[in-house]
Amino acid sequence: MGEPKSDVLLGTLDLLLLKLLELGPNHGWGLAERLEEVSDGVFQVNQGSVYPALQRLKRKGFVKSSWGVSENGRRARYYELTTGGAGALKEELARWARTAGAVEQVISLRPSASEAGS
Amino acid sequence: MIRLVRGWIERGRVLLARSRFEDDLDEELRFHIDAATEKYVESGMSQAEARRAALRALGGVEVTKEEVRNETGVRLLQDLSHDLRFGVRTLLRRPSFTLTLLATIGIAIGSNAAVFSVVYSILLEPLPFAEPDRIVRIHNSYPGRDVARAMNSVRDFYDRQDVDAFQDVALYTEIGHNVGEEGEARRVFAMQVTPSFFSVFAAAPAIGSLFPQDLVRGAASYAVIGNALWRTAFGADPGVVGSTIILDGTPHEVTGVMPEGFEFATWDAQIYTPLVFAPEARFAQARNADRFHMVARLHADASVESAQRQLDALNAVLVGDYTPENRAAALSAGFRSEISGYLEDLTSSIRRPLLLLWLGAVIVLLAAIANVTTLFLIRATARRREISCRLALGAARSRVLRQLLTESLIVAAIGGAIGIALAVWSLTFLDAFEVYEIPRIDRVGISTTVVAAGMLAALVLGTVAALLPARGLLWGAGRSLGGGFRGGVHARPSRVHHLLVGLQVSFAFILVMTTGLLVESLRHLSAVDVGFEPDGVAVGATNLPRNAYPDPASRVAFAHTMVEALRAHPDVDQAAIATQLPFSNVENRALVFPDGATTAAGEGGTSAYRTAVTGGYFEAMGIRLLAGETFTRTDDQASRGVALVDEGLARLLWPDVSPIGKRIWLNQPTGNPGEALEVIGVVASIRQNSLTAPQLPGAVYLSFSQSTDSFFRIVTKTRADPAEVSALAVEAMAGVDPSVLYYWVDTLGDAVGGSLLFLRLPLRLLAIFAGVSLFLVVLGVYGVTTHVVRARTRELGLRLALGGTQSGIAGLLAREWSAVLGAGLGVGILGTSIVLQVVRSLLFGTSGLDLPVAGATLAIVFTAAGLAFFWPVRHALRIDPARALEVTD
Repeated sequence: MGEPKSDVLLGTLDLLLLKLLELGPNHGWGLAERLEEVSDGVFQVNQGSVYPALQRLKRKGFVKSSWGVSENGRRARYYELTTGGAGALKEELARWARTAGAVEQVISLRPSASEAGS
Repeated sequence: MIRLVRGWIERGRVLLARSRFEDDLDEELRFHIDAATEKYVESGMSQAEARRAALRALGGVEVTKEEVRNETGVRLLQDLSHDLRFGVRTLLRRPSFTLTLLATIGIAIGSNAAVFSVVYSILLEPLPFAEPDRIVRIHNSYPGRDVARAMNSVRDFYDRQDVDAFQDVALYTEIGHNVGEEGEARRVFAMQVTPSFFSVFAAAPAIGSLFPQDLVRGAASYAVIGNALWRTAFGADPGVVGSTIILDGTPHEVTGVMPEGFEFATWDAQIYTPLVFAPEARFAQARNADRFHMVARLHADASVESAQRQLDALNAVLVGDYTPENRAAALSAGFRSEISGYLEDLTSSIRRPLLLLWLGAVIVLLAAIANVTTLFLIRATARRREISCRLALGAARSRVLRQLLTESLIVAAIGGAIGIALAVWSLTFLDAFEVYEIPRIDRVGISTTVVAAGMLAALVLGTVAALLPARGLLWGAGRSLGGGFRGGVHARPSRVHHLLVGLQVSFAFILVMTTGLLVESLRHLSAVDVGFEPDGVAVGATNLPRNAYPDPASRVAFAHTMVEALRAHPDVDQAAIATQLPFSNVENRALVFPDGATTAAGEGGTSAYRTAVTGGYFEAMGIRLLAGETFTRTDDQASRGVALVDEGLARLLWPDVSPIGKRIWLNQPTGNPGEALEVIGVVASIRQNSLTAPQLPGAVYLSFSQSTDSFFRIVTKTRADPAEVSALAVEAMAGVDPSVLYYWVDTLGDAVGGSLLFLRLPLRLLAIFAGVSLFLVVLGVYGVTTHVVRARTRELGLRLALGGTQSGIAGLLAREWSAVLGAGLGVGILGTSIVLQVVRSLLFGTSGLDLPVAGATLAIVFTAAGLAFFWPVRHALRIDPARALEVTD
């Protein structure tokens, strides 16, 4: 058992993976790489945590996997977004935008301003 | 929902292709590490360094694998299969406990599934017609003359077409036809119906058409045939439409074939012929000539109640227009027309018995739940240590709970399956209950719904039985690890034990008491003097073809030849003919008007059971001749009309003088001497159709030679087995005229016994239920007591060692039970009084508050509970006190 060892903001790994897969099918290694690359090293992602997350998305029917050939000619498992996954991504993005907006509002409150305004 | 299903499919796939899954995972991670290693090598690391870095970045291969496995959701299934195996092992270790549980659940689910199947198929399942709720049945009622259910007249048919609530009204009669050429004819149930009959049942023919529009009475004859007859007799040939079939020797043109499923539960008619009235019949027919069944289809927006209101209003208007005499007669008879739903009417006689059975089955189910819970509670206490140990070693509560639940659900599922099997098996015995007279009984079967409901009930039962003990085990168990039950403190049966066993006692009381009341009723009914001697009497029926036997004389000649042929047999004591027999569910009555009696205006005559018989009838039936003489062959059409009356009618009409020589008229007090009948004898009164219903007074017997009919019954009194005599009668009939059929073969004893079916059926099954509930009480009391004495062995040993007597200690233990028993019996009495609301109409000769029955019930329940208590107690008290003190658990 044990907790997923990820320093990514709790619960956002699935969202990030879905978003990356929206750009096109990819294998676990590729996804882990892109994640580090794109986030500019902000997320200290334990690469291994990509796999349980992918398995979770697969069980939910958001992604499907198939075996293909990688850039260097090796057999690799590729993951691909399903229509259900695309829908889920859209929902998640909307929710993320709402959450982020709310967080932004809260943290931009200035204590003195709220007192002065009253 | 779809997502959920997909998730489970994915889980199942992973579980089934386990090694494939692992191989794939291996390869995927190997690819990852190789790719990462390659990347690090490119950045300048050595191969070994790069590989270590790759592994570090991944976070460990095995850890990752484990996390992926967790995400498959397969873990739950693995646990489940582990729990299942563990559960089965645990259950197998305690075979007697497991068998008891399986038997209890099996019997409870089985009886409920079987009874519910019967209840559903007969009382609840909609009739196979379109919008069956709109079909109603109407019958006239004359409570003032003790005739609750009479039929309807032709005038009623025309009058009631004006009732707004009725969309269609139809009349029909149930008849029989000899179908086919003489010599190879077969007897077929049939109906004569008004053309509107088919629209009442919203039925159209499968092929062909219904009767032609412009039917004229006495013109060409038509017939519509049923699907079953079409398939069996005509090989499902569509060409039958337009062809001619012979009914009772008369050709009829077949216009159509009804679809499959168009059938009637109590009268399996396969031929429908039109019922046509001459236009003047509406007025010519006497109003009291109630000869027809009436059905109607309500308009979609009408209800039985609104139709009833309208019909009442119509009747009030019509009765107002009667002649003063008729109006007074109608009022004194309490004339009323009653509308009831068709299905309700069809099942009216069996509704209460079935509801009682249903109630009985539900009580058995409740008792079983109480019992299974008790058993699990006891079992749980015995497992307290095991559970405590597991909790102490760090097992999650939810995990242990799941284990307990799995165990009881295994038992419940197997028990439920046993129950369903029992139900299927028990329904094959329906025939043994002589239930053929119950409408729709042939439809009874275990449906998938019943199977599903039965399994669900079993699983709910299992869950309840597991959760109740689990509460105490998981949350109160921490302290019991060390001590066990050394002090005996934990071992005292809890209030829950007592409550559950008390409930079982109540349930047993209810069922035993109700069974007792039914037994008592049956005993009273068996003692009812029917006034005739049913033993050794074989009965049958025949219908003489009209063209071969067109006039009364030919029918009388046939009847007498038949009777003589039967009498010639050495085993036959007497044989006779009657137009109707007692206990045959028909009741033709006539109004009798005595000579000289001042027929006051509106005096409606005296209603009497009317049957026409040959002279040997009274001897064959064992009906005592009290005065005068019986009919002879010379009482024929040419001679004066004669009649016998029964004691009841004699007392009503001539309370003070002998009836012999008095004259009577039937149905119309014309006073015309040519139509008068002279009373030549008086016979004992008999029960006409029912042992339970209040006896309608009066019967009048006519001479068959003078009042003949083409349909009649044949009665044969034998000293041999009546069933064999029936074969003899068939043979005799063939000897007289092979074209005539002998049918409705029965014995009079069966006919009389059959009238008690409504009591016998629930009685037999309730007796079984009562036995089961007593058995459950025994199990419950025995189980709890055994558990108590085992757990208190040390304490009991101590008491014995300190000089306590065995009986004293037994008394001590018994005191704990007496309150439980007392409370259980109290609740039982209360419950019985509720059940009596359903039962009361089934009881005969007992009010329900029957002290002897209640006393016997108390004794039975007490004895059962007492034996179950003393057996383990006695066993425990035999123990050597020294050894008892060493026992720790």
